[in-house]
Amino acid sequence: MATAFKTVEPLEYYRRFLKENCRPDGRELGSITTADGSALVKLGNTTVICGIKAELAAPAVDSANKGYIVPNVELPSLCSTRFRSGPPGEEAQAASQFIADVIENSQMIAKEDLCIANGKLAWVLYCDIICLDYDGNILDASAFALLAALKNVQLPSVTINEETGLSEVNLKQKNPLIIRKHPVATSFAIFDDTLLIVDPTAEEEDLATGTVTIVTDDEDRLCSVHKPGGSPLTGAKLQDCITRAITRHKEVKKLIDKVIKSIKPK
Amino acid sequence: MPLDHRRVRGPEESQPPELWAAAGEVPVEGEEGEDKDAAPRDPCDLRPLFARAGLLSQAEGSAYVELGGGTKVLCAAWGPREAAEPGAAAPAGTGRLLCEFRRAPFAGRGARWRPGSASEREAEREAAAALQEALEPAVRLARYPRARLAVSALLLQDGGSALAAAISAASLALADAGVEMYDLAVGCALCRSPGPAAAWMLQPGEPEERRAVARLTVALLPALNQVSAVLGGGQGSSPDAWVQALRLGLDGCHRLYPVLRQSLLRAARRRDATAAAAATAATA
Amino acid sequence: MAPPARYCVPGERLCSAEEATAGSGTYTRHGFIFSSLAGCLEKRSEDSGLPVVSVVRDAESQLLPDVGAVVTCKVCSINSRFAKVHILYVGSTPLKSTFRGTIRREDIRATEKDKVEVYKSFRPGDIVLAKVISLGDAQSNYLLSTAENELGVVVARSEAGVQMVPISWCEMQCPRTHTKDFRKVARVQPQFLQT
Repeated sequence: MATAFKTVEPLEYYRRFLKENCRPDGRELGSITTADGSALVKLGNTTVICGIKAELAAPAVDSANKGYIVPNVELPSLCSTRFRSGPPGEEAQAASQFIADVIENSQMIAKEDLCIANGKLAWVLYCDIICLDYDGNILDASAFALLAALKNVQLPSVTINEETGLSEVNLKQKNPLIIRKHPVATSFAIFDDTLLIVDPTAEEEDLATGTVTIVTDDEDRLCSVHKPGGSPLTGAKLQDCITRAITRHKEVKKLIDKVIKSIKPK
Repeated sequence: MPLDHRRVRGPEESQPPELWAAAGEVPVEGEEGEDKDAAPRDPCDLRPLFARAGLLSQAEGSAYVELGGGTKVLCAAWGPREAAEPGAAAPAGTGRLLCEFRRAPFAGRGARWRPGSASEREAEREAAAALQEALEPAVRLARYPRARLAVSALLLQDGGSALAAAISAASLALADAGVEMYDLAVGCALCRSPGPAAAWMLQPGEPEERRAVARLTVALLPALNQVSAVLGGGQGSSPDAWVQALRLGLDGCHRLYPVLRQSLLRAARRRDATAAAAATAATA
Repeated sequence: MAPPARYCVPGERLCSAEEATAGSGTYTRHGFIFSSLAGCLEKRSEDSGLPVVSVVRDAESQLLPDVGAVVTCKVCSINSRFAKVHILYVGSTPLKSTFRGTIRREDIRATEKDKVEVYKSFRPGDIVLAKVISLGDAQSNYLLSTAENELGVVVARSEAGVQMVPISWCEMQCPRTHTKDFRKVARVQPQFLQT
């Protein structure tokens, strides 16, 4: 029953299964207090946690007015038997690169905003995305977790002391990050070149002949289309995917706004 | 240091903002100050513990343990698999228990733990060995000749007593996976603050653990009343003090056991209920 | 309806060893029976003697091939001395992960062992019923035997890709091309033909 429903009305299905902030005891989102921002996202069974740690460093010489964003996706052996322990495997590396590309292409955060003193000091945002339960569609979940975690990052204010030239951090005064765009990824699994299934599970991903991931931003613009090989897709089908991705973007955005609002007053 | 090409790298060097905080207002230390002002806590106090078994879909068994004060550990376990290399290391006729311990890079206060760095690998290896030592006596390895069982722990947030929480979570995960065990293993941590008169404290928080001069983690098989692991070290205590610490720790384990047991019973009931529901749905 | 089931966790003391015998999912120590699984307690009375106490899980338990067990396996490679197989089922229970096994040439059939040829008995892809004779030593994995009438190839495909039918204990025939192929054929017992 459920599978039939899924093929007929994928978006509706998705909405039903999209849950966030689903801690068993209903605690709030930013729950990792050792991190500067964090989020737990659950799509169906797939569970992803993102923790962001902010540190200070000197900007790179060739881009003196920019900070750094360092995204890393980890697929530890804990999340599925298909991964071995040890350094990140191919899929984790590909996912890290995908997330890095999304950040770069969507300009969700202007790296200039992370600069504190030109050529001297800038923020480094280490975004560590760890999969806890791997049941497919890791890219959507990772991008979603990253966005939600960035939304609740609170950075301490930093000033440069005029006299000594040293920087001073005021840990009591915290400011949120400026998020310029809200990119949302939507993945489809392609069966037999024609049938598209949104938010594939691990099983569906294994059986599918190909996958395609579409990232859109607030203004319904495309940020990225990621189609790693597999069976070909007609232009019309791709257009169909993009339309569906745009519809879903609105749903996801609404959900994130709701969750962020629910944890703000504290 | 060789470059790690498998991760996205940031700048070569970066410091946590706490290092740069203006003198005189370091909130992390301030917190501790408040601790000191407050009445010294009862050393026998246990932090509230939340445990839930059977929450991951992909692992055969799983458990999540959280201690009040912010220690969060997730564990997954897998039942017998064919040993990768037949007969290696394991004595004939028994299985092998493989333990893994990972620390999320954002789990610690202060600077980010760099995954893949030598110090991080060392810390994870040490914790994995301790985990294995504590769990092995609890598992009926003789029931799984020539096979390997795997447990993998992920520390999401370190608020002190992380290894003890991981031991409890890992034994829950193994039991949840349906691995035959003699008993659950319950972990409990203790530490002693500096000062000649300082007493041992049960389940220290992260600031207490950082200041401590001596630490101890004990693992107990409560139903059999056997100790499976004692790990600890530190300076300047008489043997009597350690004996007393051990007794206190074992008492802590006994008090934690009912919570873990309840979570496991709940998971077993839930699993049977869903299986029954699936069966009726199939016949309907 | 039965009274509400009692659930127990590993290490829980169930009863004295004098009151009952220990069944699956339990162990005995110091004269008492303890649970070794997280599951539901079952007490079955035998006609004679003590009731059997066991702890069962609804989900299939973690099973391993044991000496004497009949297993279903798939041949993955052969050479002149042995066939390598993947064990898929123990009895009628599917394994969660496959285990590798070896059927040596001398264990293929019970008689005329020196005349056996591996390639006339098995081909890669065959589904074979076999019995575990040893868990193997440090170098080898599970050792299996098909030296019984009931053991051997149960499903095999011809070169045309059609499932072949057995015509004798050592031959199978392709229903499409009518070519005959050598196999160590199992005489399948009726109790295995349920599905």
